[in-house]
Amino acid sequence: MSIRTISRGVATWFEDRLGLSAIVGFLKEKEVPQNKHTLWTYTGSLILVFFGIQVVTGVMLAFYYKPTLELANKSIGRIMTEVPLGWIIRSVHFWSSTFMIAVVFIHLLSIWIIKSYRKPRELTWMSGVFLLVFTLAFGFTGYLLPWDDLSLAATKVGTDIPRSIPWVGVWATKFLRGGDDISADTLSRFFSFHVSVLPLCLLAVLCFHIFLIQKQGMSFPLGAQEREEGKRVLPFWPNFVLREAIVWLVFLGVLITVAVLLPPSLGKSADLMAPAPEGIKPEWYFLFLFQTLKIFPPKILFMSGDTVAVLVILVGVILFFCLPLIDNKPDRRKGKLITAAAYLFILYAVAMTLWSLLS
Amino acid sequence: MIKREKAGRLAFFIFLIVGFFLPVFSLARQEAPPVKTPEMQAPAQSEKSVAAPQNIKEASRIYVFLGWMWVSIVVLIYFLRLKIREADRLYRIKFFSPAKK
Amino acid sequence: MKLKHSVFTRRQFLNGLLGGWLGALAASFAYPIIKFLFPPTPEPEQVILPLADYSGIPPNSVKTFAWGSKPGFIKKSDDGTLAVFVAVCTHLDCSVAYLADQKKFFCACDEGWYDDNGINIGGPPPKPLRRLVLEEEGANLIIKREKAA
Repeated sequence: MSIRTISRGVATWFEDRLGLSAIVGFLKEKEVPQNKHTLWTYTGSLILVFFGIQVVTGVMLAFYYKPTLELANKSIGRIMTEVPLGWIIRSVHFWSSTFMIAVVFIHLLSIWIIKSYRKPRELTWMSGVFLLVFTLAFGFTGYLLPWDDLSLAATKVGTDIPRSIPWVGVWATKFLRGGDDISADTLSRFFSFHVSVLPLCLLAVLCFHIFLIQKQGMSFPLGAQEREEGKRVLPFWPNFVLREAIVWLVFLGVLITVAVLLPPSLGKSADLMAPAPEGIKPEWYFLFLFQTLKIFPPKILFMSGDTVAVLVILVGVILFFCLPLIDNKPDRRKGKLITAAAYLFILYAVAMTLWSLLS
Repeated sequence: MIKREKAGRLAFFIFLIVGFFLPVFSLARQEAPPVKTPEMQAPAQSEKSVAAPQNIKEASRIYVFLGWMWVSIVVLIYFLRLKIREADRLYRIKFFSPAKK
Repeated sequence: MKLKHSVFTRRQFLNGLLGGWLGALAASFAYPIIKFLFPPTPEPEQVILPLADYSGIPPNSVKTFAWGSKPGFIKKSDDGTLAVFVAVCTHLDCSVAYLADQKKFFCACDEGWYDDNGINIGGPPPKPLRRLVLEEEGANLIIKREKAA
């Protein structure tokens, strides 16, 4: 009995009961189009890698973090100073969240511009928008957990914004805060969102998103089927996965290097009664929205500026969600307008972010 | 396979594994920072507590680790490229799909 | 001595190199993770207590103090001398009690018995209770770890 025969026996035992060779066979048949857009197909799995790192480092941090007013800040201080190499784990968690959100934006913009959302992939796009919302919610809820002055102030502002939505706004703010004001209940609630609710929601929608991609296959550029280009494909396994592995390794290296050389610091524990500190800013991925709110005047006609701004953003998000339904003829002029809209959005977001950073 | 070749193969693989893990373990042992060193960077009342390696020994171990990590990544990418080249070649000559045209 | 055939193929060699090095890199990542998950819980070098709190206890009784995260007993015997024990049963770590009427320490988890010097006399405990060193300094009691053997 050699190792080879033993492992073959074990594999057969599982195969007879699970029939997983169907999945392996499918992966072997799966093909990835090879064209000038193939570069962007690496973003999807990269997001998964960063998310996996977040889960692992997050669980480790949760072993020592205590979500109460008295101990939240202190427990993170303990992680950074007493727990062996705790500061690295926290730093990796912090930087991996930034990397993940950055790659999510790149992924979304690439799909928008390449127009992979057209039929039959509309649901993939829509589930993707949910994934974007969950990812940003992860960032928002996680930001409060260190409970220092800056994160408390940013959360106060962030949870106040939904209040401007007519009719449901007050309820939304109450739901987020666990009451009218930020309190110990807010911290518990945000912790519960961050470690239970959001992971479950994200995993559920992610399974749906990935299932759709496997079922429908990778999309080809418009008109590629007729041209020779449609025939150029790469087998997913092993050719594409080996290439993905190189991308993962490089990004992992950059992540660890940045995490080790630029670890985040921790402000002192927040005081609910103290005045807001100067220079509050949300995380970088919210800056363009924050700046958008700022440029609206305090009053427009009969509504407050904030309400108009929030409504404009909400309408934008809904249009964004319905993009595949709007752009159902992507090779015509409408399609070209949508592409232009994507580039305009990039320009707008970058400009607003820079403005927010510099002011 | 002839017994001697089998033993030779096994010996070589053991040598490979030991050869790779030895530097890992010695590096890893270097990595452990002494826990008893002065811990809190600053008392709780100060503005910020900064995350950083606690002493120069820990700092240099971390730089060694970063160096080892990047060397490993370069080496692994080299091996992966070899495998990619081979996988592409096999695909091009249709090694795995005799049924297709 | 030249071999007639290669010990392994070029593909196996490359796979072995790739897998082996990847394993080494993964192990070097796993090590700090393991260290993180097992933080050290060092015992204190010494604990300082105000003498006033412990000098007035009646003879043949114990008073609890905190030895790091473990409970400790300061026991005053009939003749007035103080002794210090770590009040953790040597069987399965339950906290022991002192039964003054029997002059024995008793562990309720599995009915372990120690005499009034902490020696294990009945039940499952395999070793006597740990004793600590007691010193009086001015208005303080200083409790230190027992001398290394």
